[in-house]
Amino acid sequence: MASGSGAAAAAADAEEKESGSRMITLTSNEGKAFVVTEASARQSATIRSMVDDGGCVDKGFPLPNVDSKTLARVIQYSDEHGNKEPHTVDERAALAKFDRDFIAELDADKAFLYDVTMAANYLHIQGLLALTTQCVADTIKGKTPEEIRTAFGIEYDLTAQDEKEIKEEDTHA
Amino acid sequence: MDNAAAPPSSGAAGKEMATAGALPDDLLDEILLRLPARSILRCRAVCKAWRSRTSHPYFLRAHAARSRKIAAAVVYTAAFSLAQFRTTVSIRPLSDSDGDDGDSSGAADPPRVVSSSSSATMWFVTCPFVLGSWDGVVCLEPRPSASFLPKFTMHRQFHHILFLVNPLTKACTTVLAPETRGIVFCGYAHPTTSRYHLLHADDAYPYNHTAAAATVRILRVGDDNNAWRRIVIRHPASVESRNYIRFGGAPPVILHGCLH
Repeated sequence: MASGSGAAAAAADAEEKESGSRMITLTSNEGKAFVVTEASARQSATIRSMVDDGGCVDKGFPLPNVDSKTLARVIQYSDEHGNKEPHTVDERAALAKFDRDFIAELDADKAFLYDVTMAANYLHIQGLLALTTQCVADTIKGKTPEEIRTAFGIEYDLTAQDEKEIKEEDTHA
Repeated sequence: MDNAAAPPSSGAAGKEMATAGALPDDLLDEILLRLPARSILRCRAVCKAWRSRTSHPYFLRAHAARSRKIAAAVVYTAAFSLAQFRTTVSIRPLSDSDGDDGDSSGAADPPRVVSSSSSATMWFVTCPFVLGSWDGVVCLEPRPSASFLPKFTMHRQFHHILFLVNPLTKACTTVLAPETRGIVFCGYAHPTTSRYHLLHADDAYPYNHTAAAATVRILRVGDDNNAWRRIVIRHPASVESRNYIRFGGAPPVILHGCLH
């Protein structure tokens, strides 16, 4: 390490080491504060970039698009994935099991599943987003168009022309 | 779906509906992109918004990028009786590391049960011949073999029916080949419209003193009239006057998940 910039680099280095134990405050749209480790918060690419840009770590991050119930659940995920780094096969299996249980619980409450999905999208938590969107996709998979409309509360608005085209597409499918 | 015209059941699960309807577009794409091609066909019959989303070339390309690991089509024909041939076109994931590489397993092996529902079965009265496979669509031509139906007139061979099948979606359609001698040598999904096109070349070139012309016909699959558009490519006589279309072995199937 060059002596000139040594001090600054060392300081940055120390900060880097320390960062694992820094705590970050996330605030839901209801004003409720959640204190999480930086490692957990860094699961979110949105927060990660704000932290790296030297954002207001001390003041915490208000999340106007996420309510308390959803945020608590999102933090449950990011704690599990951020605070532990799976090294052994067993640890990886345990994390996979956590994901399975996590999504199974969400799957039972679709409205909440969508809330968590949107929060994962807003916070850019890739792992969680993949998990939730796949779950929604799986519910669509086996359904007929009518069942999909019912499940998603979509109004039928296809014209006769559309129907004709669909029939043609569908004849052999 | 037959009941597509049924009125939407309203009022069910009020809270769920409100939330699901509010899913932003980019998130909806993220979800729909995770669906297999067959489910996407169904999503096209859900509503206008979903229909246009899942038909957009951008969406189709993104979907194709995700399903790129599926990359080989296996065509297997079994003769049942004199006039019954069952052809199965199935998809085999290239990443499948089950020991054999590609189709080296030999023709005698019946196709093993290939992953899930990705195969399409058709019945023919004659043994079909695979013309090619382009952009995820396999083109088959039922063709009498030499020992079979020997009196099949040469003339009738020239306007065969061609079968197009997308084994991923199980979509299958037929088109009429042009009534001239020649062969379908290429097919493609148009990059912007995603409409499937077939290219046909005449194998007889008319010659005169100054120019030789190759006739290529293009068909946009799905048009009502099955009209082949004729394009004549002329070569000056001074230049090499014969052009051959080269068939470079069996090209790998690129499965665009292309929904035509």
